[in-house]
Amino acid sequence: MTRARASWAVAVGFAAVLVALAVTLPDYWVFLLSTVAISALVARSVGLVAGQAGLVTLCQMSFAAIGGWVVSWMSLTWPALPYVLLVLVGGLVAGAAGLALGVATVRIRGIEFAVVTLGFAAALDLVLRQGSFPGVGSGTAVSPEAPFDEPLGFFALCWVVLLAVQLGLGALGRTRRGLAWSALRGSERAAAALGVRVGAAKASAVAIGALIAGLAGGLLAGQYGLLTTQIFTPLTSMVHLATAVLCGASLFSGAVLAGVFAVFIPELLRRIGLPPDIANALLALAAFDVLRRGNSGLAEQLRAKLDDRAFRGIRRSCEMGPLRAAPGAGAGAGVLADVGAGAGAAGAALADPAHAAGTAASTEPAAPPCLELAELTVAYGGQRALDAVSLTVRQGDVHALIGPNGAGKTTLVDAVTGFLPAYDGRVALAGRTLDGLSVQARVRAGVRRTFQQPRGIDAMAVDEYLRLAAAGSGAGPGAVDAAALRADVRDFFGLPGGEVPIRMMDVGSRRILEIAGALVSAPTLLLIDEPAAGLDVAQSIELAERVRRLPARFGCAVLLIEHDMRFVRAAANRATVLDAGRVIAGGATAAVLEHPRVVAAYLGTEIA
Amino acid sequence: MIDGVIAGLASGTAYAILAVCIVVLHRLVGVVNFAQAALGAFGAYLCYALAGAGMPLAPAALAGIAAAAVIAGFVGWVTARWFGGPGTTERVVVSVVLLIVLLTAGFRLFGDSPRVMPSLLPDVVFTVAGVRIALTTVVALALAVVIAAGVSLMLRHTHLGIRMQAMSERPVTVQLLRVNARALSIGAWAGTGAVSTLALLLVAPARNQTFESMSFLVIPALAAALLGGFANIWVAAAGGLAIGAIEGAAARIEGLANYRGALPFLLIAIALIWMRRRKVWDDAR
Repeated sequence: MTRARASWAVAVGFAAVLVALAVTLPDYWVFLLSTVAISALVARSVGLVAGQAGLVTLCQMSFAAIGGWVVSWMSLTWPALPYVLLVLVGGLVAGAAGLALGVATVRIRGIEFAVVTLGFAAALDLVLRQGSFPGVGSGTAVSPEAPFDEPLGFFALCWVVLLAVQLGLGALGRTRRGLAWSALRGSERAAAALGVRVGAAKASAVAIGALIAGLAGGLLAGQYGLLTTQIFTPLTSMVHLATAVLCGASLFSGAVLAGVFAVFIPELLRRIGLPPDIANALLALAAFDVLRRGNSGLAEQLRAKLDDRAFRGIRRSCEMGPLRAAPGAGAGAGVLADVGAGAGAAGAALADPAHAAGTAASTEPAAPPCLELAELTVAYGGQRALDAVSLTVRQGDVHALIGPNGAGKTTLVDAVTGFLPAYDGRVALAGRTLDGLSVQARVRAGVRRTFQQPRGIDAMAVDEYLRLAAAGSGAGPGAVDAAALRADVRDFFGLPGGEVPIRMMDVGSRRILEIAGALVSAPTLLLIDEPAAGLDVAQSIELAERVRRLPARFGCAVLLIEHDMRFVRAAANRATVLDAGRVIAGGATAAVLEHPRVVAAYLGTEIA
Repeated sequence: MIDGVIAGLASGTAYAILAVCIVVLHRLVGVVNFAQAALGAFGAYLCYALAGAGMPLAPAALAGIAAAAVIAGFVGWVTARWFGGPGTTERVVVSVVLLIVLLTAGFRLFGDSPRVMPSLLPDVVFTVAGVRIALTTVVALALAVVIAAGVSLMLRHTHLGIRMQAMSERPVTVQLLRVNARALSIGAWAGTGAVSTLALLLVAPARNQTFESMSFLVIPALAAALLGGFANIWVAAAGGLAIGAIEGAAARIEGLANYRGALPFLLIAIALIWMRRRKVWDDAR
């Protein structure tokens, strides 16, 4: 792993430079470098909440104020307590405040979230101005004990806290919770479809962001001794947001850069005889310039360039060559549908679509039902998107759902997966009702879906995405070993290497990755919404071939929405046609596609 | 108490007019303007600076309004030029950038101390049923109603208004329909900038504020606009008046008075959480 080694080398070099600077520079500069670390903490907290989780926050300095207030108050009340403990408690209290805000605003998003955080910042600012920080009235400053009373000791403390936060966030980023934050930023629905508990993920991002900002506030209390409300105004939160966006503070390097800018630009202006408050406008305009160019932050741009170099010549798209035999393991896998006889009744019927069409039309399928819809009705206002739709997808089936745009296909998928607030009728999975269950409960029951619009989770690598997707599985005992299943899926679709960032993949490959993500959770039922959009003809043919084999290979039934009739013909053994919310035809694929009403209502000239 | 409510209504009219500007701009160009009050404050402070330098009040006020319109129009040109259809984060940050820049410029130009703010209208006070009502309050209230009514009529009934609304949803499509998106954006920004200045000129003398605190009058206005989902003009206007009234009433209550600025935000946050309780999913599908 040369990349890992290179980043270790950079980290060690950075630490060495830092130590050398601290030992050689005069106290004033050591003081400024401590402030850099504190500002970097705030920037990192903005990077976490706004950059990673995609929640635009305008109140990070308010959380810092809470941390600073707690430290000032405790140091006044219990002067004997060690300063480091006070800082930790300050961070925890700020984190608790963040948790409360995150829980309260769990259904508030986008611009509304930004306005609510701004309102919170202004309200807290007003409350703080009524009194002052504890100790200010009597002139009792927060005074850290030795060795933190020396500039060098305090400098070491600030940087150790920053590094510890970064290591903690790095470890968290590899867990399901950390990956969930990135998923959240892409789309809440897509995250939920992966089994992520969206509310908990959002609240925890705000809470941990607040905790980090609270630590920064506690450190500020130690550095200044006496705090003023001027440090924590809503304006300072805004400037921190702009600086974090400019620098790309979702990365450690970006956060440190933000700290450097926040401290040394005003310092530089002061030294050349200009008012230091111009720095705010400069940073804001620079952030504007970055956005104007459609770029990410400076550190993120650098990371992207390094990635481009690192992955030059490495395959970034899915390569689906001729299918090879599966590598042994698997629940009912390991036997290719090509082999026919070994694949069980469903597999045998699937082996030859033409043959399957002929037999399935005449004989009732014997396989037990996987998904049953009875009289499913969905109304938006007065409009019926689905009107008493009854439909059965049997185990081993690839069941196509076709119909013109607006026929209600995606609404049906939303109803089955639990994304609709309400519907009439019944939805059952393998005999168990799903009605009234949340999205997450349905995911655990084994329902997975993909989305019509590509939901690329840009900030992740292929392997991270697959791990996040697999972790939400409801696979019971006897399920295949997760790692072996991942390897099998990866091989089946010819996915690029696990380290490849998803943002480098083409649109078609991302759609395939989305299907792969659903499969690694060993679902009972997989709903695929327009997989062929964005694929070229050759890819489309290869993908159809694979979708056809999914039931035999991975043991799940498939409900497939697709407009490309060649794809449907090649992949599905049964089909249902929806038009204006009603079922107008259903049965074996070949028969359905020749149904006169289907030809008239939907297919038109393509068949004629 | 009634006195307090009436006194609060004076500020409430400013919140209402600013909130209507925010809603209009959001509906027309899709940006929630955090700098709405700062633009108005810029115009108002310019007026006071000119008046302080000896210019008669009326031309000074006109100059302030014109300056705010020009600055806002320039911002409209810039955003239309570079930000056709960006995401929420980008739009919020651009709006925040504008506020930071205006605050910095305002601090440099006007300092951070309040200045003498002559009233545009004569200082006449009526007494109705024992309650004192200032002429300024009545005029500002009428102005708020006229602006809200005019804007909603314009949006609902004119060809231009309907096309402009289409623009905030799909700027590119509307350009294909040969609507000049850039000109409309400049017009919308300039218009709201001028109206914001007028609103602040009317109510500022009663509050004696610094440039910064005047700029942060945007927060109650944002809260009011939030109540209307950044879409409903009448709810936003009523919300602004209600916030002013609540602040005014709270000012007369011992113990609450010092925190009255935080009170409306708390109420609106609770209202919003209630309104959104069933909004389990984001709009994107």
